[in-house]
Amino acid sequence: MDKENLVKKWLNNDLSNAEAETFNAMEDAKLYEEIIEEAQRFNGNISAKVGSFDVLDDKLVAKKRTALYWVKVASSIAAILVVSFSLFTLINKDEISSFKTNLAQNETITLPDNSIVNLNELSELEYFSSNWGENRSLNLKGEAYFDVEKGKRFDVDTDFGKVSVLGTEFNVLSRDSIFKVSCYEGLVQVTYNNNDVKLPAGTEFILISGKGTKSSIAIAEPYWLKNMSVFENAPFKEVINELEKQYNIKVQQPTELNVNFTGAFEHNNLENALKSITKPLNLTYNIQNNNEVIIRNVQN
Amino acid sequence: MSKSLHQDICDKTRFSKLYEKYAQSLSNILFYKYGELLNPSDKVQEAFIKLWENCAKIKPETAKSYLYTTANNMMLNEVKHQKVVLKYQEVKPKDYTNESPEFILRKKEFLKRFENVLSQLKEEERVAFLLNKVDGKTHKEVAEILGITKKVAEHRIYAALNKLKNELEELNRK
Repeated sequence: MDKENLVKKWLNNDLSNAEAETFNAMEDAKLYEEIIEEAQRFNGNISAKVGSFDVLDDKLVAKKRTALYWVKVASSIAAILVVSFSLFTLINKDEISSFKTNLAQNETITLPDNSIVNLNELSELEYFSSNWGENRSLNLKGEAYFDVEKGKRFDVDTDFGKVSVLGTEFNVLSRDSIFKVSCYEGLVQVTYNNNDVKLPAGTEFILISGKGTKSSIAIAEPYWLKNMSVFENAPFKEVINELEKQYNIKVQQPTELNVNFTGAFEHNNLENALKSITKPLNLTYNIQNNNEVIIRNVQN
Repeated sequence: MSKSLHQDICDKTRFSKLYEKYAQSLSNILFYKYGELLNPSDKVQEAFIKLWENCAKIKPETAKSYLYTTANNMMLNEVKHQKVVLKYQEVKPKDYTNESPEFILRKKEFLKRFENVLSQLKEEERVAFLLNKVDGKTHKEVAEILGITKKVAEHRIYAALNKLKNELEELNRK
């Protein structure tokens, strides 16, 4: 039997007695034995000893726990947010309500007491709905038509003054430098600069540069509710401003016209609107492509 | 491979059984392969943590190979070209106190040499040899662990022993 086979058999602890004798008789036998014996010193059980399962378990638990912990924290934060948000919206419903209209946009708002507010374009309305029964008061920027249910004092606060009423229909315009209140039904009281003005049905009040004038109105409802803009002896500049706003266009005038305009234009047809404005004043117009309109005198 | 009773190993008791069964021998394999510098026992722990995190996805019968592959990959990521260092234990398996100083000196020299040769062996030979002779795995088990045939395992063990003998022989002749 050759040596290699013998050693292999020995390695596999597979030697017969006779073979074992042969092996032990070998010159290298002792060294082989020693090698195997000393190899035990390299046992991984000592050098690469793994910790007990408890040690690992702590890590596993810690890992799961931290994960769970963060999930808990995150979910409780989320829960708090959800609850507070819904509470906030619930409570807020009874606090401040505000409305805002964009260009060429009307909005009809029903107030808690069934009073109706018609908000014209580019206007803002804000009111406290929590104690509406106690204090019927709202803030207005822009223009709005009010149909107020009978009840306690109804106040409209604007930058220029305060309008107080008792069950009525009225229109408030508070824009740029114009403050105009038109009363269509009932009685309205306008307070401005420590002055009180009482407006019975069918009258309106205009405040231009600190000067207030009272006049009667011809139509039963404000023009913009009927998609019309009506002017009575209004500066032409004001008319053009209104036109620009309603149609979202730019109007060019070669020369500033210092005339007053009485009349109306509709909101649905630019051609018609321009005709209604220009004809009475002996002007002509030209519609450009890029939302621009040029108005000039016929003579030119 | 026997079909497992359970679908996964997400149970602490079952998981701890796995640990007790495989952790140390896995650590040994890594140690024999890569030496002690790369902390084989740490890799084993990491592999088990990874196994635990993915316990729902791993069937019990594949857990062992998952552990082995994971730990081995962790090692390989770190190995690069590090030199393998196997450390022999100063703690003596036998008491040599009655031996002569010459003997102790020779033993020390012998072990140093042993360590060196062992480190320089081919990885496959070293692992097979140590698994068989130190961990007491049979040729068949070694073959299974390393994914080779029994014949190859046998040969590797023999080759390792032969190299060790040849290198250590000189020392004996002094």
